[in-house]
Parts: sequence; C-alpha cells; structure tokens
Amino acid sequence: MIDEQNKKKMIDYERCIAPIFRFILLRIKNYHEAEDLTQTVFLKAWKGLPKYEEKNQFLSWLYAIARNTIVDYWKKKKEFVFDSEKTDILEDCQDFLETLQEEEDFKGIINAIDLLSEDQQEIIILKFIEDLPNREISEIMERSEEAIRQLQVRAIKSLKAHLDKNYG
Amino acid sequence: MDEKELKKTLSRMKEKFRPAEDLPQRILSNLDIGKNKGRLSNYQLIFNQIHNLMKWKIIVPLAVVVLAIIIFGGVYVIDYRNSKIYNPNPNSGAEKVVVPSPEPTADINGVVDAIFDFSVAESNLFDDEEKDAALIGIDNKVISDFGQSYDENEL
Repeated sequence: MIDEQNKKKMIDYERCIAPIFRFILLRIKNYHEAEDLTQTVFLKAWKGLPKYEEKNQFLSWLYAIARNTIVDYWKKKKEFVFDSEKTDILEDCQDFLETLQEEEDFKGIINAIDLLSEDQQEIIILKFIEDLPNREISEIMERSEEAIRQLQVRAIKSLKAHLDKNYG
Repeated sequence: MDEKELKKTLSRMKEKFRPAEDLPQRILSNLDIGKNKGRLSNYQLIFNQIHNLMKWKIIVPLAVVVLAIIIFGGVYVIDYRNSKIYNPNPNSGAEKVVVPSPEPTADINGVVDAIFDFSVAESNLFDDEEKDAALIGIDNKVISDFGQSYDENEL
C-alpha cells in the first residue's frame, strides 16, 4: 500500500536522490537542469508506484525512469536552439572540490566521458562511480550480466584512451 | 593516470557530485507532502486541469449517448406497447389476403365450380373490405363527435 512511509522511503537522499541526480548530471552536464530532471523522475516514480513490481530493485526502477527522462530531455532539447554556453558542472560543485588537482582530474574525466558512447557513459557512471553490482546494472540497462562485464571493460579502456590522448 | 588510479578517481566522484540539500524537500512539495502540504505546484495544477478536461471529454459524450439510448428506447417500448393494445389481432388486416386460385382441371364442371368458388372468395374479400371501410367511418364519426360540445339531449 502507498502511504506516507513509502513516500519518505522513496525520497531518501543518500540511497535514491543523490545517485539519480549524479546519473542525470553526468549525462546532461547541467547542474540545475539535472535537479529539475531529478524532480521529474521522482514525480514519475510516484505516479507509477502502483505499477512497480517488487521483484526488481527499487533503485534500478528509478534508474530506468531516469534513462527515459534523459531521452525525453534530449528530444525536447533538439526542438530548441542548443545553448552554446555550456554550463560547467564543476562550477556548481565547487564547494565539494578540495584541491585544484582534484578539479583538474574531474574536468578531464567529465570531458572524456562525454566522448564515449551512451552505453559506455552509463556503465562508467553505474559501475565505477555508483559502484552498483553487475546484476543491478543488467536490470537497468536490460542486458545480460555477461554483456555488462564486456561493456565495462571496453568503457574503462576507452575512457583511459581519451584521457591519455587529451591530457597525456 | 593508470587504470587503477582512474577507477579510484571515478569512485571519489560519488562523494563530490551531490545535489542541493533541499532537493528532497522540493521533491516532497512536488509530491504534495512535506512543508507545502495542500498547495499544488503550477505543474500539478496544469496536470490536474488536463486530467479533468480528459475526464469530462469522456464522461459527457458517454452520458449523452446513454441518455439518448434511454429516451429513444423508452419511446420505442411505449409505441410497441400501444400498438399491442390498439391492435388486439395483429394478424388481421396487416397481412395480404390471398384468394385461392382455382386448381387446373380438365373437367368442365370442375372449371365452373372453381370459377364459382373463386367468385365467392372474392365477394367475401370485398365484404371484408366494406366492413373495414364502415369501421373507419364509425371511427371518423367518433372522432368528429369528440370535438363537439356536450349535448344533454343525447342522453
């Protein structure tokens, strides 16, 4: 049954909101729009809660909604003139960065992630940033665990290659 | 940066990229619970408006169709009952009366008998039609009398 307890469980900051926000942020590279989309994801999840099947992980279900929301976002974005002034997400996350070196490392990685395919971007975020188990990632990406393993090997190699090429 | 170091840096990003602390509150207010309980966001107001319009778009035509079925169905049933009341013998008059044709025969007496039978059947049919005409005449009289003022001498 849907009750206040379920609502509060759904909007758990550490377990649900922060991972979904990061996933969206690293895909769209805009801090404020990522927050808006995170709200949209939770609104959709709230409306779809009666359809949620408990055999799946709740977080995986949220990630699946987030993926679709990002797809919708890009579709809408194409309808408008693309904003050439790209928001630097590191500026919005400045409070969390400790050193200039850290900032440089993150900047390089974010730019290199941008050069990967969509699947590779997702696997880097889900496996290496969020540290999700392969079983859950296979649920989110609707692929076999073996395919996920292969994809993560290729993604990390590709990311390293881009970093080496651009940041030596 | 080697692969191991890259993985470490990636896992550190989890702690660095965080949403604003008030994001859960904003989500809560969107879900219509929490601080702003009872107040709807603009998005929700628009959504509710669309939802209501959709609801009326379905309910109103459905109600009109149901009402039309009830009205026309009722009228049809009343007509059907009336026709049953005023037409106690629905088979009479409505069906075409067939005068039996004389059977073919080679005997002259048979032919004459058949002609007589046919003539009798036809004359019966004419009699029936005259009776119907008389009945209509009576009906007409009753109808025309209906419009007249009350005349106590008639009693």
